[in-house]
Amino acid sequence: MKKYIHIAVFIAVLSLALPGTAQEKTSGSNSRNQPGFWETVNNFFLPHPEHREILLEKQTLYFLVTVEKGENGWHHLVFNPNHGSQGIWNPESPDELLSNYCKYTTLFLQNTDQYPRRVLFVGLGAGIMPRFIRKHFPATIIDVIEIDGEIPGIAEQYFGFKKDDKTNITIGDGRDFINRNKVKYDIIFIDAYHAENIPFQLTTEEFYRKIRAALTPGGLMTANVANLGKPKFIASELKTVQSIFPDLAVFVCPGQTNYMLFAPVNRKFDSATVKPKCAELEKTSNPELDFKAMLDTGMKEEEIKTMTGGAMILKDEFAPVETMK
Amino acid sequence: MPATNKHILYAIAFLMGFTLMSYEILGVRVLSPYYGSSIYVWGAIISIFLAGLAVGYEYGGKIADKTADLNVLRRIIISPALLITTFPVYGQRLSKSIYELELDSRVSVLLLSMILFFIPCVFIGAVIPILVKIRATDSQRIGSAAGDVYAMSTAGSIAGTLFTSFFLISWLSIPKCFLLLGLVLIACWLLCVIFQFRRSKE
Repeated sequence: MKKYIHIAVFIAVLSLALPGTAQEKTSGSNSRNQPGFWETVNNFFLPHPEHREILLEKQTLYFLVTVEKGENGWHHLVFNPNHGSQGIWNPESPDELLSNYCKYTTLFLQNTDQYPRRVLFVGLGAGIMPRFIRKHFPATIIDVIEIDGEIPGIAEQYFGFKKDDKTNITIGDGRDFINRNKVKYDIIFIDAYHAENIPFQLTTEEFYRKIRAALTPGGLMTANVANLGKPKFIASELKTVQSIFPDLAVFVCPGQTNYMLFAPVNRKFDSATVKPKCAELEKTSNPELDFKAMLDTGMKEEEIKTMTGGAMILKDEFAPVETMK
Repeated sequence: MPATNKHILYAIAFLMGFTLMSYEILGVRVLSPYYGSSIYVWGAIISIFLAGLAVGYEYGGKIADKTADLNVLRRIIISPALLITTFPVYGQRLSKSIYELELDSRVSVLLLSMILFFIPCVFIGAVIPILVKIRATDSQRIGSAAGDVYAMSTAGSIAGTLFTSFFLISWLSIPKCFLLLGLVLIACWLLCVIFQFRRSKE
């Protein structure tokens, strides 16, 4: 019996020591010029498209957050390793929208005739879109509900997000916030699903009914549904949102990485013509924006119908989002 | 008195552990539409479950010292069985009324978990020392009696956690899950009734 205990202890020590050596390479210095043993192994199995410098590595209540600097100087916000970036920002060109989903989010302008008085972000991330709103709508009140208390600081320090006196950040769950909400928003931006973790209470019919109730009559909800390789989930999500917002418009980011949902309260989303406001933005501030091309990726009514045909409407009492594939 | 079939005792321990953890996972699912699924919700539910168990162990031990047989077990098990089976009837309403008091989220979620989950956990906890007492009296080996009962109940907890989170939640709606759990406890109750009846005939 004693012999086995020795072997068990040996294995336990070994398993502690090995990841230990793997840790050293990242935490000690910022640059990773000399790959350690485990990094070499990793590089062999996992594709590393570029060499990234680690600016920050922080274990929060919810994520292992890293801020990485790419070879071109862009900052990436990464929530969990190997699951892509939550936000990308170029310090050299702070107002440029780099990620496709941010570019697509600007389609909300198609549906905004009046100056938005108050908007809500469910999920802050790198704070790229709040920054965009502030730049183009200096007088808008921006409310943010973010679950992780460390994220706003990280967004300010590494991603050019600025909290001013017309920006209110609440730390908590989006569902709790919207349940208790008493004000009306012109636009609600939802970006709360991330790699491998979909909070079911932010996917259900009941949730979207509350969102709708929190919008002004001319209001608009936009949601970023990342394609996590779960077509059944996306189909159910579209069907659920459509049951509350019949005028739902869906745009598919290149490579089907993200489905962008635009759900107006009481009018059709105009995806036929590029609005003057958007054309102007295209010319002036962001050369990479191409509204015509983005509008062309809109799903047709029949496409949505085919996709959501066999899907279920998600409800608080039955939303098996974790196992939907 | 003839000895109580030890497999029955272990089966009850297993099913109790199963129900407890399954109930806990479902509990999070019930509260999330109100409070979200932040770390506070998990923290509140886990601590209330543990508090209920602690009180249950204490009282169960006292009861076991007086009488420990299938009759006592049966009477203890029926309460959580009924509470969990009927959960869909009162769960939503209570959650809604506590939530609408608009207390601080953390206070509110603790209070609601206390109201919804504490009492069933007390009863489930109370079963364990009684099972230990019955088994120890029969076998005269207190150490292994306690060890076996705990091992079986913890094995049940593991099964309940995995089965509920991996499968049950994706198969059935939450009210049906509660109904199923209630039926598991009613099955425990029936086990007690049947084997008590058999023993008294012997």
